[in-house]
Amino acid sequence: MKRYFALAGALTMAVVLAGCGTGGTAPLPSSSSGVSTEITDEPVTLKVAYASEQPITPLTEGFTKLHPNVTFELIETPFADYQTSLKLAMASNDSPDIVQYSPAPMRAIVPAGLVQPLDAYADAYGWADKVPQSLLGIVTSNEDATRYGEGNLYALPGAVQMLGVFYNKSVTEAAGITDEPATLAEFEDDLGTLKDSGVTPLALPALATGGFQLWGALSNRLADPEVYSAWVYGDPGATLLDDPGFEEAAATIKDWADAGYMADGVSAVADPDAITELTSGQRAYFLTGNWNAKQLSDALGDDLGFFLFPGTEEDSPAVASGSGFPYSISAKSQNKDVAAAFLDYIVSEEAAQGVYDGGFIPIQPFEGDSEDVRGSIAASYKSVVAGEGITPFANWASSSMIDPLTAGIQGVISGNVTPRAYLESLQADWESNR
Amino acid sequence: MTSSGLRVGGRTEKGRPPARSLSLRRFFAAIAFVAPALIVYAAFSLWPAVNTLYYSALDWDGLNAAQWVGFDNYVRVFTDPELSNSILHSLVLAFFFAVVPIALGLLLAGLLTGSGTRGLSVFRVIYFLPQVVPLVAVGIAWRWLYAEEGPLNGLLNALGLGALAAPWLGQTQTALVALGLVGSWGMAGLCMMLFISGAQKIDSSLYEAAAMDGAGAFRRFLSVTLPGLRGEISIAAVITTIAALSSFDLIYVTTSGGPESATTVPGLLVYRLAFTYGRLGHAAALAVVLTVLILVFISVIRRITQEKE
Repeated sequence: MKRYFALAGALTMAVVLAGCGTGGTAPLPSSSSGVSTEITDEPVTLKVAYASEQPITPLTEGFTKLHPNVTFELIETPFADYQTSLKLAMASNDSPDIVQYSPAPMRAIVPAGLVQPLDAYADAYGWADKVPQSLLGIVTSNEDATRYGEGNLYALPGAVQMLGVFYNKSVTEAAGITDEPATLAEFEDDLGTLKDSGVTPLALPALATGGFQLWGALSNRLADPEVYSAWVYGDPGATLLDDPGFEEAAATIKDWADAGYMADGVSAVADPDAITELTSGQRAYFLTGNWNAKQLSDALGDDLGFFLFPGTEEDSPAVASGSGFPYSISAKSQNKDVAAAFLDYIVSEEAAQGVYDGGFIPIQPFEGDSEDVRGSIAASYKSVVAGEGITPFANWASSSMIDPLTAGIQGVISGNVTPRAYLESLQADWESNR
Repeated sequence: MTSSGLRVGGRTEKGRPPARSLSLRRFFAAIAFVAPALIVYAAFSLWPAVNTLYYSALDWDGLNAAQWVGFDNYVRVFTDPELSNSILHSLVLAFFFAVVPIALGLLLAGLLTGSGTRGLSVFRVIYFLPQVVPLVAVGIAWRWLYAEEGPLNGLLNALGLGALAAPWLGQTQTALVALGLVGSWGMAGLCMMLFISGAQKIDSSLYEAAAMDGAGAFRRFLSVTLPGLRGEISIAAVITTIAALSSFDLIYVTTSGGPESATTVPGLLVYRLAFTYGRLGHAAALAVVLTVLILVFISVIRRITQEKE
């Protein structure tokens, strides 16, 4: 018996001791006075941490060409690990100068004061005129990182990622489809034509983000994109339940599933599987982001086509979900002016060619080769900026939203969850995180 | 418990004076020998475990100042309907990870211990192989096998059983059982290996005596082999049950808990809470509950399989 008391005592001690080492105190953000757009001639090395090799490598190489005294130490981490390690990296005394902004961990890092607010630099460099406002929403927030789209600017994008429909031309042409659809109704006709010809038209990786990204694309067309953006940004009182378009979007997915426009087992299809389905000719269409463009065009070459998800009317203004590849400056960086000069470079016209060559869309509208799929993606981006703009990804609405989104769409497809119940589960998660 | 502890100092009975210094010296010598392992164990196993206990009483995102919330996280754990579902799922998995492999392992061991079969070691290697391959790789391979247009459905179609073909991991009715069978496939080899080594130490005269009493092969298995393997079965049950209740990697790479949360397990929820939602306290509380649950199961298994004296 005595032994157990001793053990219990030791455990209690240890718990109390453990308490001494945690619950960090938040350092105050250093004041951003003394902002300068002139940078030093002394040799400077900037540490850059990121999850995606493109577009950062051509951007850093381009900047070093302009400023030979500035070199970069590049630290790449696979995306899933990047999400979990970013907090520790930013909190360490040896934090990187520049990090790729990732919304989920930044919900903790921004309130800790570890990210440099960029508003003074934005004024000095005039970034508001250089970068489309719709790309800055998700990197602009209040200091608690509870509300986006207004407040301090915490990052600047170096390239654009955007959703659109990739298609396999040899499959659509074999079914007698010669034009890209100009309206949603035309797209549904094409889906029906393909189905009748014996092809399951849609590759849909609903195991991961593919399912709710289709819902997002339909929502952008059937509901008000401003209501959607306000909801993702966490505007007080925002709701998906009042605009019937969101429910219609989910119901459309159910209709498409029932019509056989997607396979029965899409809830077990991962992104790499969907890529194979499209490139092997089993499927005709794949709604995904241009981050997959390089792999798709390597496999399909000239057979790969791209169009933006079509609207209800032929002249509906273009819209697409997407974001920049944003980069932030650490509040602990000793070289903030140099880092800010780099951020100014990544949104410039000089940087555009390198970003385009790497398979991404440059921030500055860019004339690509219209024969090439990269060119048609760049042209589509231009029309989006001229239209409704870029809307944020739905999973950014809260750090847990990705699970009700993924599971909910799987339920809508199987019929176990009604479109209304799906929206209510999203709204419940949204409210529990405010 | 025997009285062996009292006899440790038996040698010191002769001379009293050196007793204390000698036993003290022996004590420090013993500590010195244990220290390297103890330090590593304490730093990387005990300390994190104790820390987890502490975190479970905090509201903490891993970075900003933590707040002491007492048992609030535990209340949330027990009122969350998703948790009871995930525990239910892991109990279903326990059947496929523990009961099925032990039965299969006994069968395989019975087949592979008898003499006269050629290439015994080849079979042993084949059945043990799944245990050597990392579950992450295994999971991805099985995802392909189970795919709607994958080899398994292809085989069913070729056999004229196309009506049975299904997207195994893509529908709620089949996903959990399909994953459970992956576990059975992986764990059966381990159980077999344990049972084969256990069977080798059973005295062969027992078999001869049983045979002389007129026991057939099946009867000998039931009356000699099975009781002889009691210890191994207990170990196998403990290992496989832990694997089932704490499973994470297989689920993570195949279904991520889907479709529609049909395959969520506590381990996956801990990961989500800690690394996606940034709720470390809540995640720690769930981890503690999961640990207690596993301990309860192991105690029950050990009790059931304990030899009566």
